[in-house]
Amino acid sequence: MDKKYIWLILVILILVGGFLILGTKKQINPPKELVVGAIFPLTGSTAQFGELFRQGLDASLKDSKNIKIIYEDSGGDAARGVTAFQKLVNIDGVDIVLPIISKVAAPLVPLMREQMVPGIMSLVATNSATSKDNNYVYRLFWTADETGIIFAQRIIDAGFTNVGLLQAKNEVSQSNIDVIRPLLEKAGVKVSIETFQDPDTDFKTQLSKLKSENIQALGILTIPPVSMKNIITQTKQLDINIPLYDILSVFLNPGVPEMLGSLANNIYTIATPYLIGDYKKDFKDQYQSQTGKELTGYSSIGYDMGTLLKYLVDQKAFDRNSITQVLADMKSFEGISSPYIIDDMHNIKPTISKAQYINGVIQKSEK
Amino acid sequence: MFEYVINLIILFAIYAILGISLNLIVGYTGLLSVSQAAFYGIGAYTTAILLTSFGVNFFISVILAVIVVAIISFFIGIVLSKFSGDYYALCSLGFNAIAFSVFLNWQSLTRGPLGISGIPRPKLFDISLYTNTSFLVISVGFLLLVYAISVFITKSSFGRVLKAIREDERAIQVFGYNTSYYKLAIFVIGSSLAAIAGSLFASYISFIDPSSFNITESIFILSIIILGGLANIRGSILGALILILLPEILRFVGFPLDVAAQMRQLIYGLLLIILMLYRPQGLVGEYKL
Repeated sequence: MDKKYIWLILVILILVGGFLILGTKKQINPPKELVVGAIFPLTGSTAQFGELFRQGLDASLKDSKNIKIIYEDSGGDAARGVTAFQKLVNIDGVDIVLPIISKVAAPLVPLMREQMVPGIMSLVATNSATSKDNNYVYRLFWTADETGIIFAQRIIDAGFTNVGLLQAKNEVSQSNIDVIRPLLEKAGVKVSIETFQDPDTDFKTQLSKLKSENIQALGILTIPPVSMKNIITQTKQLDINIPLYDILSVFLNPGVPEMLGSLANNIYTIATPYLIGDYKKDFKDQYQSQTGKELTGYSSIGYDMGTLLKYLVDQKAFDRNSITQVLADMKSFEGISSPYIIDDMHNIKPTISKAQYINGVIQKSEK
Repeated sequence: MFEYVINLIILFAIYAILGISLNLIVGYTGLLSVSQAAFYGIGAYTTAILLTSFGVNFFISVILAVIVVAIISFFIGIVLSKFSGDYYALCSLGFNAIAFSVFLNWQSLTRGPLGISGIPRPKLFDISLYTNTSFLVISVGFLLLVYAISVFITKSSFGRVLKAIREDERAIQVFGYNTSYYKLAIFVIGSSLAAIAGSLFASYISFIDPSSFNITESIFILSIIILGGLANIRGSILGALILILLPEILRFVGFPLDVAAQMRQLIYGLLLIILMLYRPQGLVGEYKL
């Protein structure tokens, strides 16, 4: 191929790009329309979370005429997330951004502040992700503090003195370990930790080591359902018959209970009150009868994100300043997952209930 | 719009530096290294740690990152220079896996999977170069510097020896050249230049974690130079331009919402396959692997 053709291709590429970019340049928004930029992982290894959130958000905003959502794929990558943010803010002119997963949301925190764009992130566990003095950044999800404390309390209440933790090396697991370990050690509980890297499939070495420590309970910190399945299967194979705890609520993923079947019977997990039928049961039944579908774990959180956006519209918050103001004045709001409380660290926190998987159903648990 | 374009140019500059640095090793010397993301990561972590924990000036941190990577790559290069062909590729791949594991598990230094956040933007004589425009100037400045260094190397007698090693290592040894020395030298130079890209990435994105420097990233950098053209510095720039620009252009194509992201990925992959079918040596390449 002649060099001139190569440069010609390049020029065409740039011209087409320029044309497309200019062609979609921000239209002046019709009055009273909230333009939302959703930076979700829609491809890549974390795409399932993006899809679940999108399902919930779309279901929530189905009949909303004055909310426009523009989805951009982050692919779960920090740099692509930043590029998506710049496009949404500077070309589409969105009024608020919704980034999900830690790796994508973390680099956007300073950008939201610099460019004065309010944002509500989700699926971000690190406690330090939000701060008191950054009025632009909110998190609608539970933090590692909450999930970690629930597990530690369960262990202490059950009177265990020796527990094992099997941890995937990722941000959410590590954030929880940083909360759980000091709490348990302070309570005199011996903690043995074994780690692995996703997408490992063989956990027998780690499980055998934990078994040799004579642990009384095992906390599992992993995200992919298939890892959870392999871990549970291998505990049975190694004859480890002790209580198992799903610390990161993997059971909230659709299809997980079906995939695990009776294998996971009695495993302890966490859930929102909605998912265990303890809250908004009428809505749950009505939604199911109308659509034939169910809003599962993360979809229901996505649905609540949509509810929050509708609240902003009700408050006539159609621009970045008024959105920031309305969010700052909010102290609580009612979602379908649970009632939410907004703390001074800008965390919009759902209630988390202790749950247990029994005979294919996630049920409320006192233990 | 302006900020978005600036953002793309900054990312392009970072990946062009990575492409040029790897092209010196793979394109000019014929050493199939699949470890560039490891050095990119070491550079990024060095700058991130120096900036967040010690408050070192960004430009000094870049120099220190280059030195750190030069030292590490020297020792890695000593081992690698004993290999060639597939064995070289496999060993470099192994090093990338080790580096990734260190980033992930040396938690007291790298914060492991939590990553390092809040990495500040550069400062020059107490003036914060806070804006994307000033970062653009810095990135393009470094790109030009790396470009100039690479052109100087490839046009020098040292560069001609590298090409000779690529074409026939035994033949050049007959003339009394110690090829291990040359292979080691270019590996250290190429890796050290990648550290500059790492420093820029850390400061620009303000957050790094191990997943940005895994084997997939090394393969992406390799695809930049294979697509753009091996043994051609401008080819690395062209490759980076296409691989950064193409997915962004596809963002503006109005696919149906439900399948938009997947369609973009599909078209991106297809275009790359078509390009490789019709131009296996890369767009302006002078050498074929």
